[in-house]
Parts: sequence; structure tokens; C-alpha cells
Amino acid sequence: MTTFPTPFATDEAPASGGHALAPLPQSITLDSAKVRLGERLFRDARISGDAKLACVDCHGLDNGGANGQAKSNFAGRKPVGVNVPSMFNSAFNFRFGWAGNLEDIGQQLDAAMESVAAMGGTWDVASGRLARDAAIRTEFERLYPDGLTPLTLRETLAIYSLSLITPNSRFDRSLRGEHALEPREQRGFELFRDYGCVSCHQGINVGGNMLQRFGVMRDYFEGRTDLTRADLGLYDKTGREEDRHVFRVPSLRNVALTAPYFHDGSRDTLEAAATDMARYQLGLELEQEEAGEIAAFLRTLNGELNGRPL
Amino acid sequence: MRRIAYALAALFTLSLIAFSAYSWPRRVDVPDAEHYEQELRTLIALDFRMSAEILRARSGLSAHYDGIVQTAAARKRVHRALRELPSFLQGRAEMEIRYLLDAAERLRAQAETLTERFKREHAVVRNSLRYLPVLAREIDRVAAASETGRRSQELIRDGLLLQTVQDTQLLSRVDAELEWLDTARRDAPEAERALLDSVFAHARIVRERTPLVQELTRGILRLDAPGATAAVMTAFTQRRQAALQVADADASRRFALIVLSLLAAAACVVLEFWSKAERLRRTSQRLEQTVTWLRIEQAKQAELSELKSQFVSVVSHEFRTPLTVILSSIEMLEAYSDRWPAAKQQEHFRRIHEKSLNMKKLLEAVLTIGSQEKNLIKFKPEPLEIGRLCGEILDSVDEFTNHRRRVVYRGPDADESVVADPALLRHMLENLLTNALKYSAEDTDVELSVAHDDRELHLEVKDHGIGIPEEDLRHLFETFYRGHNVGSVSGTGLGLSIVRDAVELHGGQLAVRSQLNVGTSFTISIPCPRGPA
Repeated sequence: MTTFPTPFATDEAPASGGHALAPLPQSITLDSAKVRLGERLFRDARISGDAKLACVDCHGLDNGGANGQAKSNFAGRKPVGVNVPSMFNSAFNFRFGWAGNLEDIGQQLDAAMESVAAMGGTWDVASGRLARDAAIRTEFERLYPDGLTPLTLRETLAIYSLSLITPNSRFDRSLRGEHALEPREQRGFELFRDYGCVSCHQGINVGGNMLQRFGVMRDYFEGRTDLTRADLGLYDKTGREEDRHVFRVPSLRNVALTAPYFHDGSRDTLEAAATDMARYQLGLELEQEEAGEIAAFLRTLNGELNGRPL
Repeated sequence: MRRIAYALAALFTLSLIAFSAYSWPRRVDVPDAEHYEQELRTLIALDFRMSAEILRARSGLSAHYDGIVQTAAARKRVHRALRELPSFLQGRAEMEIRYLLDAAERLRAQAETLTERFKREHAVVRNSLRYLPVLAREIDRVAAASETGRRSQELIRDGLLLQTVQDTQLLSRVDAELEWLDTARRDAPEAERALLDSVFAHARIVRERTPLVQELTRGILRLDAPGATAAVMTAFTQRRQAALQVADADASRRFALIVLSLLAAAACVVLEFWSKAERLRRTSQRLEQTVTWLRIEQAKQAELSELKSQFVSVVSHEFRTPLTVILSSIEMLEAYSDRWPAAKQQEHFRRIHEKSLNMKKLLEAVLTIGSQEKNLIKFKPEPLEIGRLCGEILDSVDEFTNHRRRVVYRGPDADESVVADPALLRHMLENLLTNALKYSAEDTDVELSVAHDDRELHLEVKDHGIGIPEEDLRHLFETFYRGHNVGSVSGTGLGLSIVRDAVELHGGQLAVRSQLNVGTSFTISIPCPRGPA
């Protein structure tokens, strides 16, 4: 099974340093022909088991790589167990899935393909169906010695997914010294830093480089009677008590575009999400103004996709 | 021979090819092996880097975990790449390396699990540590004077101290302070309660998780120690060394095989040339032999035809002459016998008788030669009186010359006895004496000397005749050979060859001395013991 190089593991990102946050690189090196082919397939419903759902239906490029639903629910399908995470900047994620059990983009694609709530198909069926399309088959034959196979189909989608990076956010530009943030944004950044959000939402992707228990200072799930398997976090995958309610810390880049929030899609606004995060993770009760300022900072994390501001 | 050599050479070549094919995968692909070793070194370097990143994060030198994540990803990539073993690692070597790689991989996976916990716990502890000074300032502002305020400050100070000192005394003091604060904060004024709750919560996090972070750090450092990778490296180096030695041995063996097959091929070629040369040599030898044989045959043929012509001329002359005489005498007797007187008739009868005797002698000579050539004449020595034998021979020779010539005899008395073959002696002496008489003038003497010492009999026949030309001396004893100066003297060319054969049968020696127009002397020495007295 093909595994994918994570550009993040190369020297493109700063390895370590005194600052908790760092700007994204302007580009990563990928085969552009495969990226273009992947983009076509990303919008192609024939990949799903019933040929009705395309990748883009959950990961809208105009929705920050997500689809704006708390939990995707398509006709004839079970609802997805978690809120759809953004697939932008996945090149800089060290794990995938809310539980963080998927080790690379390939495994993430496999999970999406197999999930009956999402694609509900197999690579074999998808590649077999696409092979009947002469144009696509020809393009695969041009790019791969093996032509269109389940593996090359999977690889093409993976390469396209990795290509979706969003550099040049206002925050990144301010880190590079190109301009200063608005005072309100700047205060938000300082709160984000001083209150300790940055302890976990850190690094090049403002998150995405570690796992953390949801409910460090208070129990987020206390008194809940409607717990789902997804709420168990990594414990659902490993069965280790220490992994109970442990989730992948998501990247906050383009977070303003991916409401609603949290793995359960239970928070509709940045302010609400920030307030709950401070409460459960930091043991802090944010004032409304503070939550607003942090939200203002988070909005500076919207980047550009292919040179176009999101 | 050649076929065997060819077959051997073919066998060598085939075995060479087979052996090369067999040993092909055992060869060490050097760039491949070096790349693999480089990857192992990279892995060891990444092991060290991981430890460094963990320590940097723990000590706060790094404010995020990207370094850890990068290093882990790089290490995973290298581990995956290392599963593609160089082709020379096979069988036990492959198993060993795979076993060690699996062991290293398991350690890496364990370390990764610990690292995830480390990041989680460390992030929380670090966050709380950032809070403690903030809370301390807040307490200073709100409750500096109260005991809870004072003891909270102590707790905060001890909590911060825990980052550098972790003895049991400090830990139990913090435990006691936490316990006191847990009770005290419930009784505290409303304005202070939230602050004290925060102090309690963060201090408890620091108290509980700092040792955990330390333990995780130690665990990761222990697991991440490059020992497992170093073990892979050591085994790999040893295996490569061994494989190189095997490859060297293979190369030597292959080289030896190449040399051997080349030698075999060369031997084949040499053998081919040698056998060709040998065949050529044999052929030319045979040709030479044939030529020689042909020459000999030719010479023999020439000799034979010469002999034939000599024989024909001799026989025609020697037989025709007497036959002519005999025939003319018979014709005359038939025609005139009634008219001729008895004396004249007698004269012709005597002539017929004489010529018939000559022919008989000639026939006997020819037959003697024939017998000699067919080894029919045997050497039969017997005691004899040499003087008497010589007398008899001289008598018959005397008869041959019609008593017109005299042979001077010098020799032993009649009764002296020797052991010899009388027939052979008669052949020798009669021939030599008649020759001497034939080729010398009638007024000269022919001498016969006979002497006997205790071992040998010495005979000499000497004349004062025409002599023998020097060029004829060499061929003198050949059958039918006659000297160039014989003129009209009749002869067969058989006499001397009979003499020669007789002497040889007797084991004696024959010599001739001659001078043209002076004379000839034949001497014979034959071993001859004295006979009984």
C-alpha cells in the first residue's frame, strides 16, 4: 500500500524554535499533472459506492475544506459520526481523523472510502467504474506505467489533497513582518498566546501536530447520556484508558470558514467555541469581549488557495 | 581426444554460466548496500535528534512540537525504506536483519505512543506553569496579607521548583500544601475563591503531571536510544562483510573458472594445431618413406632389369656358344660320320662332351647362387686333410685348362688336418683359381698359398694378369657383375659372388688387392680349428 511523504516532515517547515507559531510555506512540491487529474476526480461522484457522492460534497473548497454541516447527512446515508474536518493544509497534519488514529492521508482516504456514511465504496469498484471513461483512463495511462488501478486512483486523490495548502493568511503575513494585525486581532492573538490556547494549537498549522484530551480542566462529557463512539476519541480505536476522550488537536487555519465546531459540530460560532475551549481545556471563563477578540484573531488565519483569498 | 577436449571446454563454459546465474543474487550491489548503510546512519541520527527534540520541548527551548513530529515522520519514512533490504541479504542474513528491524520498529512504535502522551501531558503542565506566575501576581494584588494568600504563594513557588528539583521532601510538602489549600479555598471569601480554585487546579496539574512528564521523558529517551538501530547497523555491517567475502570468493572462483575454461579452449586450439601438425608430420614422413621406398624399388627394379639383361646376355652367350659348338659337331657327325675317320669323330664327341660339361658347370653355378639366395647351402664343417683337398682342386683346375697352365702350390702337406666345409672350400678355390687363370696370360704363373695357424686358415690366390679396375672393385662380389676390362673372356659374373657367400658362410673374411695389368691377389681368412691328427 502506497504511503505518502508528508511535506511537513521535510525541511519546508521550521523544525523547532522559540515561537509557538510559524507561517505556512508558499508551495509544496507535487506532480502538477497528477494534482490536476486528482482535482477532476475530487469532483467525480463515480468514486463513491452508489456513484452519487463526490469528495467535494463534504470538502467544499469554498467552505474551508468542510461543508458547513454539523454532521454530514446525505439522502440514503447514515449521518457521518463526526463533524467534517477541513482537508486544507493536511500536508502539515501529523495524523488524520478526529481520533488521530490515521497515520497518513492514504489511510484517511481509505477511511472515507470505506465509511458507509461517506463514500461507501471500494477502490476496486471506483477504478473499475472510472476505467470505462476513456478520457480518464488515457490520462492515468499517461501519468502511471500501470495506468488506472485502485492504487493509482488512491494516490492521485492523495496528491490532490496534499496540494490544498492555504498560505499568506493575514496572520502569516504579520509573522513575516509584512503588516501589523488590527489592534483587536492583535489583542486576540495575545490572549490566545497568554491564556495558553497556543499550548496545543501550535506549530506551523496552528494545531494538527498533537493529540489532547478534550476536557483537561473540566469534564466536557460530564452528565452526558447521549455519548457516541466518536465521543470516546482515540479510546475507540486503542481501548487504552489513557486515550479516553483524546482527539487530534485540529488546525485552526481557515477556522472561520469551517463552522460549526468541535468533533460533534456542537458550536456554531468562533466565540462559543473559544469560550468552551477556555473553559474545558484551560479552566478559564472568558469574558465576552475576550472571546470576541480571540475570534477576531482566528479570522486572520484564513489563507489563500491557489493565490485566491478564501 | 579432440572431441573430449571440446566437450570439456563446453562443459566448463556451461558450468560457468550456471554458476554465475546461481551466484548472481549473492553479489553485493555496492551502491545499494552503501545507500542502505546511509539510511541506517540517518536513522541513528534521527534517533538522537528525537531525543534532542524531546529534551528541547521539555525544557521549553522549543515552544511547539513540530520538531518532534517532523523527526517522527522522517524516522517512520526511513524505517519503511529500510524494509526494502539490499538484494544480497538472503536467507539467515535477511531473517536476522528483519528481526532486528522489527525489534527497532517495535521500540519506535512504543516510543511514539509515549511521545504522544508526553506531548499531551507536557502541553498541559507547561500551560499550568505559565499560569502559576500570573496567579502569583493576582494573589499579591487580591490576597497578599491573608494566610491562604501566603500559603498559595508557597505552593506556587514549590510548584515552579518542582521543574528543577524533584525530591520526595519537596513532593510531600507540595502534597501537604495542596491538601491544606483544598480545604482552605472552600472557606475563603467569595472574591478570592475563583483565584484559589485556579491556583489549586494548576498546582495540582503541576504536582501530578510533572513526575509523569519526567517519567515519559525518561521512557522515551530509553526507547529512543539508538541501541536497536545500532544493532541493525552492526548486524548489517557484519552481513555485508560476510557477503563481500563470499562475493570475493565467488569472484575468485568465477575467475578461476574463466581461466580454466580459457585454458581448456586454448588447450583445444593447441591440441588441434598439434594434432594437425602431427598428422602433417606423419603424412610427410610416410610420403618420404614412400618416396624412399619408391626410389629403392626403382633402384631394385633397375638393378633387377640390369641383372636380367646381364643374366640374359650371360646365359645367351655362355649357353649358346657351347650349344652352337655341340649342335655343329652333332650336325657334322650326322653328315660326315660315315666318311670321317674315327679320330676325327672322336674329336667332335670330345668337343660335345666338353661343351656339355661347361654348360653343366654353368648350370651348377647358377643353381648355387639360387641355393645361396634361398639359404639352401648349409655350413657343414668336417675334418679334412687340407693338402689333399687342394691337390684335388688343382687337378680339376688343371683339367679346366687342358693341362696347359701351371698353378704353383705353396702349402701344408697332404695329411695336415683341419675342420672346414670341403664343398665350400672347393667353391672358393675353384672359382678364384679359374678366374686367375682366365684373366692372365698363359705364360704367367698362378699361385695358391695355403697357410694354417692354430685358429685360422689363410688362403691366397695370386695372378699376374690383367688386374681389376679400381671402379669395379666395389661391385666385384655382386651377382652377374663383371669388370670392364674382361674383354672377350667369357664369364658369368657369378663366381666371385659364390666365393663371397662361401666365405661368409664360413664366418671368414675375403680381401682383394689388384693392380691393372700387374695382377690380382685374393686372400681369404676363415676360422678353422685344427683337425684330429
